[in-house]
Amino acid sequence: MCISKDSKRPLGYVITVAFEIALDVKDLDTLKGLQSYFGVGGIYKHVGNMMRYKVSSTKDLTNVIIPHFDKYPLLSQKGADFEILKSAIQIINKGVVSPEQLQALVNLRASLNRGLSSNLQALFPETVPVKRRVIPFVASSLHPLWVVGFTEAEGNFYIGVTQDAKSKLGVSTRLRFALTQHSRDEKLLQGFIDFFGCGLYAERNNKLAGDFKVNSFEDISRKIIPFFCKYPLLGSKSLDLKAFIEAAKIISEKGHLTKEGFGEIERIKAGMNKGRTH
Amino acid sequence: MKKLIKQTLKLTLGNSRYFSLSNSSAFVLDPWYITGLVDGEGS
Repeated sequence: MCISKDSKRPLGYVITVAFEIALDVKDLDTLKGLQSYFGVGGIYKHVGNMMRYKVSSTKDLTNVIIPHFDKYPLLSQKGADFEILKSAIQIINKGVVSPEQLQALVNLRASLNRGLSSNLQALFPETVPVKRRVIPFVASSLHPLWVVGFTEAEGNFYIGVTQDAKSKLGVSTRLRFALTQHSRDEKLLQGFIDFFGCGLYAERNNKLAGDFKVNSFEDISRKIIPFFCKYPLLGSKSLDLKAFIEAAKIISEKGHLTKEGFGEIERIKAGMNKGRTH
Repeated sequence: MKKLIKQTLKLTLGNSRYFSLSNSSAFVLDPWYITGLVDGEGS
């Protein structure tokens, strides 16, 4: 939600609301899938190599986007942002915005995403941010396809290579699967331990984010990889998973302990994640 | 145990559905997938 000055408007402000999601251009097909699913909104160039799917019509937000998230609720604390946006749209849909309603919208905006800009804080000194609801985590709400979508956004398939004097080749190879989120969603991340039946939760040193991690090769081979084979990733991250599986196969056959096998793992690793060029 | 892991990976690599990612049908999105994606990336 954006509130900005506009002298042409009766109250001197224009209020715009939008739902948007930005992905790397290599995931353009996923954005097209979103547009096709909702049947509204557009896809636009974003910063750098990013593209974004955006719905900014209050009519489309009211009739399409809000009903979707009412039926398939957000499970992270982003759900509180959705509730705030929904309240704002309900005010906007009443028609002409009164001064009191404008202040109510600013109060909502103050609790949304990163809060009010310093400019808006100065213009609306009476602002009292609305209380954000804490979205409770319910373990049974973790639908497998929700986990796939979340992994598409926040998942990481990682091949680690470290120096190891005890190893014949002088290096050791390990695999790791991780899901990362703001630390306010610690309970959600901990919920993946029960969902996958493995892994652990670790808060990062900066305390701002946390990770659900699976480091055990056995758990990765027997639980993580089979899960994503049953419920496949759709976007570019599926290519990282494919490479991850190829590395797992080499490790399962002890190939990583040979010069040739380790070389193959290094090649796979170099082409994954940020090293991927297509 | 190692044999079981090898069998699991063999089955995984042989999963044709997984490797047919370029099929346009893969992008018919499930509503829960969308919510999960937005939980991770949306605003």
